[in-house]
Amino acid sequence: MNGRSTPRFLLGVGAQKAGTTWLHQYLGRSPRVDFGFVKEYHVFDALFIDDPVIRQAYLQRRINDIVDPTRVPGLDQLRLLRFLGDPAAYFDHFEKICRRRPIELTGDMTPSYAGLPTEALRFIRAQLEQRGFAVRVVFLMRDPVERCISSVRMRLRLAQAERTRTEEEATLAELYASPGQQMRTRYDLTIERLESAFDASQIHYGFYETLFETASVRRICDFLAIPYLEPDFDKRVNVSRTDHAVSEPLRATVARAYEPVYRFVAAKFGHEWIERLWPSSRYVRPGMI
Amino acid sequence: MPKTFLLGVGAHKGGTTWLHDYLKGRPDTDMGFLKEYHVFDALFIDEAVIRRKFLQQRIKDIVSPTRWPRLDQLRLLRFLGNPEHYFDYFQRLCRDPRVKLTGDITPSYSGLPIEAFGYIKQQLEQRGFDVKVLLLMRDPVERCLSATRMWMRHSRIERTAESEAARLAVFHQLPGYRLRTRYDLTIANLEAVFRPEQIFYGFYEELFDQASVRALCRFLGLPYLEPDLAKRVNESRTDHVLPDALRAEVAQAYAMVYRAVGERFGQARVAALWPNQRFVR
Repeated sequence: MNGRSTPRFLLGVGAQKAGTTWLHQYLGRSPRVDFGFVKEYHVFDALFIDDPVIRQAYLQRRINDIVDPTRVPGLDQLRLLRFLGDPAAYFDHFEKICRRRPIELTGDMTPSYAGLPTEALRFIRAQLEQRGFAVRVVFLMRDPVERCISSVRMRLRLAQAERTRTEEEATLAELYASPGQQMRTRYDLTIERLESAFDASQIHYGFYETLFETASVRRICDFLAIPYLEPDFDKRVNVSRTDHAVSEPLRATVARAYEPVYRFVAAKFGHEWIERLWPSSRYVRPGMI
Repeated sequence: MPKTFLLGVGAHKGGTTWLHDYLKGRPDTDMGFLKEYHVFDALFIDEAVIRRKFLQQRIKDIVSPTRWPRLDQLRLLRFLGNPEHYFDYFQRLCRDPRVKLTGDITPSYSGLPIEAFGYIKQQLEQRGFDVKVLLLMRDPVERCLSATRMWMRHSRIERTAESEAARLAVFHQLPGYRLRTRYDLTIANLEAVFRPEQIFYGFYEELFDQASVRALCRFLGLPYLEPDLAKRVNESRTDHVLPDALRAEVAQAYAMVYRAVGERFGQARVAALWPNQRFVR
């Protein structure tokens, strides 16, 4: 490609509300990195996700950006739709980025890719490797209960809804087990699919709770084979925090709905570590995880 | 009087274009700007490769860097972006008091899952339509052969007896052929959603006949008008003879269709209409 080291393609697959935007901005500061015109390309969710309601929602958002008779579509929106019509154009786009300047890393960090089926992941890998990319997958996880709370808060913020404690709890109770929240929270299923599509050495697992630490960022830079730059840990993006405390019983309900996630992640990454990192794991059959 | 919406769900190569031409030519219908709107196949078909093919064709029509999109292509993409626009469009067509019937005859809808049929029915009935569904079936071997011949004609591939047989031997097993030939599955999905009186099953082999057209008009609540029975459309016929061994192979691959249709519509009738049934063991 540029005659130097093999360029890396970072495929960020979530989780949503687990620090992916912060990481994207941090990596994008490096002159050796160019992610193109958007953080989340949302190509493969709209084409491959099995759940028709979720898939159609992503697809239809893309189409409606273009065909809205009251607005002139932006060039970026046209490009995104073109990628949907022909994913070869998506892969070509990244190849062009690497030809334009001697960069080392490009990629797409779309959190809903956490819900992609194995065949989609295999397709992406094959296409990227065929174009000479070294594929690197990053999956950041966060305590399932906190992730759902944060997701609900973001939703209320974006909908400009009133954000009282009552409203937050009602929305959480309504949505925590919805197909969309499950898709973004069942890290166990995402990991299984990632590991049947990629080699272990191509996947980096991280945790939101320890992301904003020098050591974690260093590990990510090493994994992506780019030089470490001092991060700005005070910067937070897409913050949806409020001061309302979600009640214990509701937290417990959400935690129990994601019991397989707590169990799987604890078994894979260490029980004590997860109990410390994810306080809501205490709701999952005390002492059992 | 409620207006009728005809949802044609195939089969592909089962006479749907002839029927659409007949309906379009009547003064009491308005079928809109197209025969096959291809909205729900691109959104709902479970088989991911097929669904994406329909979807991506629609998108490519619009975003091709070398051509300006046509207005009808933009409309189709708009329907995909929000099917409410599709349903609203047909409702608008029916505001004309002369129009008694409108509809969409898209043969690949034969592959739609139950949830898609349920959604279409609900949306149409919510808008006051009397929904009628039509499935025209054709001998599975002949249907696959006709589809293969049409594909070769469109692809400008020389059509000899050998080249047709070689392709049919492969094509009939493809998911796209299965989706269009498994009438048994289509029937089961339709009947999970629609009431019996909403569905009309016809046979290509007896379509070009006054009695069938009469029955169809009655089903659609339209007065009978004389059709042009000599007219053929999208014809891909050749004189090449297909070897019996290959007929038997294709028939055997769709044995469950011959069986289910025979049980449902009468063994003797289906044996007479579909000669390839004799190859089913």
